[in-house]
Amino acid sequence: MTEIAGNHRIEITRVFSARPEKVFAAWTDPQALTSWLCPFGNRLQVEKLDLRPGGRYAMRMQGADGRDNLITGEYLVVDPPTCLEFTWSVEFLRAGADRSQEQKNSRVRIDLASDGAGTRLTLTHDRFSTKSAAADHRHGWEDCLEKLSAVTATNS
Amino acid sequence: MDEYNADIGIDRAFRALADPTRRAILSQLVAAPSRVTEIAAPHAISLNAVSKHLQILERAGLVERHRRGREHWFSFNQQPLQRAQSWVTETLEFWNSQLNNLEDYLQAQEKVSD
Repeated sequence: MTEIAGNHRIEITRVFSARPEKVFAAWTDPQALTSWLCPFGNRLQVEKLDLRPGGRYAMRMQGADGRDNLITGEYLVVDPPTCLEFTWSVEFLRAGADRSQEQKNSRVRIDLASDGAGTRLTLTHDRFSTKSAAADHRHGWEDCLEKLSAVTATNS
Repeated sequence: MDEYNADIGIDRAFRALADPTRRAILSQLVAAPSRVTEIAAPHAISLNAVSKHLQILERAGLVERHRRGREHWFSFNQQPLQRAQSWVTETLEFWNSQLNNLEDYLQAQEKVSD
């Protein structure tokens, strides 16, 4: 398992013993998703899943801790069994939740490759789904963070 | 944080840091929370000018003001820096745990079928 992180991108690679077709099915079959895509103690309902480029999905994640999140997005790439890419936006439905923490239009990509009898899965999550939004943020934040680190470094 | 608000925040923080006096003030506050007179001391500028710089740093979210009795203390606020980093931490944590679930699910499937 490897992890790579930049300021706005994470990448995780893992090997599963199941074949790519099975892994791809787990990501695209509503019943399968309900079984595994949910943090411990949470319930997942797939309200909509239109599996084609441009098709939309909606999933509701509810938890014992009171969380009530609506996850929505659009499929960008549907290429069984090697690639699935979709946008990922989170809306907090619980009253009083801090909505400034919601994620808007991030992008998730799953790449699957045969690895012996199993599958090597690479998951990439980009905080921003468009290049220009990412570039603006990257330029602004990296410059900011650089200046800030310079300031904090001289005093630590 | 929607992109419009995020951009305003970034612009403010960026402009706040673009001034060398403000960077020096921030640097001082990183070392220790201070009062206006202590902040002004190393610089050959008026208390008024220092107050203006502090206001800009405050609006950028880089500095916090606390009142203790009649005195105002200023301290460095790490939040803007931490916010970018917390997305990475939370997202890694989320997907790692989901992929653990996926592993369990696939293994359970393999036992049932084929």
